[in-house]
Amino acid sequence: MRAIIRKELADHFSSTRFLIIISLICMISFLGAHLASQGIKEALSAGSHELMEGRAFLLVFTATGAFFPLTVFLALFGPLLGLVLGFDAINRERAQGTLSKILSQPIYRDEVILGKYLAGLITVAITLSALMILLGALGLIGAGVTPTPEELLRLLAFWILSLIYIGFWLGLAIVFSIIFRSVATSALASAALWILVAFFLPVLGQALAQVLTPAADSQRPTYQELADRDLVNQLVAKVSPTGLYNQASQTLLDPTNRGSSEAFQMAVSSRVNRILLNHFRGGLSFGQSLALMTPELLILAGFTLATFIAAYLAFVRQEVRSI
Amino acid sequence: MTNTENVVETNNLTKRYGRETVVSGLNLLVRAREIFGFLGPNGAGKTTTLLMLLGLSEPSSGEARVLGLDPVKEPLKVKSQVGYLPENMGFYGDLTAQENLEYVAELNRLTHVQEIMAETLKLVGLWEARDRLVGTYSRGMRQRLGLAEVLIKKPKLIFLDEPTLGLDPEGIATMLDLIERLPREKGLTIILSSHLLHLVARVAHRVAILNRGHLLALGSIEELAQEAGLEPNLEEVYRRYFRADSQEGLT
Repeated sequence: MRAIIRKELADHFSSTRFLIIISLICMISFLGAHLASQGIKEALSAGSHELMEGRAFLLVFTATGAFFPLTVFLALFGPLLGLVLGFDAINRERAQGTLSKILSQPIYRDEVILGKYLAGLITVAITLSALMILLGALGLIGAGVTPTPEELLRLLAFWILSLIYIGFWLGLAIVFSIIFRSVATSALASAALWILVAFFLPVLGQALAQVLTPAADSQRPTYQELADRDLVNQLVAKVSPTGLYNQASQTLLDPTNRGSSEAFQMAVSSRVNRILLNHFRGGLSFGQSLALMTPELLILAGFTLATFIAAYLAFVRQEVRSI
Repeated sequence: MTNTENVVETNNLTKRYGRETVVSGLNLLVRAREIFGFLGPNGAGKTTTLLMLLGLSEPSSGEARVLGLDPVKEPLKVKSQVGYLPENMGFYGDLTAQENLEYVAELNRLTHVQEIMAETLKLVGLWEARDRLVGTYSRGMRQRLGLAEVLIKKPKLIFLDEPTLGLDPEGIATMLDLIERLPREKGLTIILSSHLLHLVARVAHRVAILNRGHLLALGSIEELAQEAGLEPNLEEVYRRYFRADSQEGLT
């Protein structure tokens, strides 16, 4: 299997499309990080130290300035990296006639599919690490903030979360590369699913929520109506890998985040007294954030595992005559 | 291994895809160090049989023994000793011939890769062209590189599926010359599957004739000719067996 991983890694890192997508991701992330660190610097000089206590460094990755923060960017375009690394994993080899050659060597079929999956995952891991280290360095230089140990832990957890999220898309793309004979078809199918899940599902969730829980007075929805709407929204988000990733990464990288539902904000602002509200303002500890995002993390990991198992079974069960 | 030992033995080997029977009750015997011609029209079941012998496809019923091993139970042991040149052998066009060969060697977990590679590349006459991208290779060179990839694992038995298809006359001559030398020089057994009779007749010691999954005849060309009362000419023999089978199929 080591031979397959080595070969696939060499292919990934020398391929033009990987280079293109990496330069794209790097350019946009750098722009985002640059704008974010400018914002942080201004906020620091304006004297809002207290507000940013313990999360200044994290803001390099999450601040919504004039541009995407890394979290949103990875949620939307990270999938593209996974898809690009996997959409032709099997059908390209089939088309060029190398698959039957590999399978007639003394290796198990499992090794082929596992080797390709792992090579893709390693590529994603290296890319993510490089990107986050570069962004962190940019934050250090640009904003002059240093990370606390807890912030580093949060970033590490975010790295793992992102790897699982992009791993889902990698597995999905490999499944497509097995079931579709044509490379073009699997590329199109991957892209279609990506656009559906990353861009349309959130909108669909909101539309669904409004249809299912119509507000009597659309200008002033009641607490109950908002709570119902939140429920539908969150259910939709929980079946979407992108929704899950968004929720989990917000919880992880923003210590003040404790589920930002509209109903919650309304409850806090209208019903809870000021003392309690002040009590709420302090950030959560790393352990608390981790506990808060565990359900999302587990569901997401389940999705990722499911696509890998699907790829594995589809490949191992395929008749060789059709290979 | 003595000369008379059977390298391949099948017992009622059968393969069905759904309702369609592709190989039906095949009983084959291939002896050590012979070139065994595997004849039949396209779709006769030749490739399917080879895949079953390699353990790449599971028989629906019946069994096979390859080098004394059961390909269903020990596919890895079989594949490490048996080389297979598929009909349309593919390569990584963006790698050089040497890199392609190296990958196959790695998959076989070979040691002393560099020496074996040099030896094999020289044998098939590609040593000078080893650093060229395979994408720039001619059909004949690709086919010889395919043979090199098969030979690098030092197999005892090789399956060649239509190895001369699409080659020019000179390419065919080089290929057949190589095929003829292998049993003598390397002690190899070769199963040569083809529908090009005159080529098989040139190199094969014994042949099997296959049609619609059935074995029509098995033996040396002389034996088969004698049985049918014909001149020892493979084309005559083939046509005779074939016509008999086709008429049977019609009635």
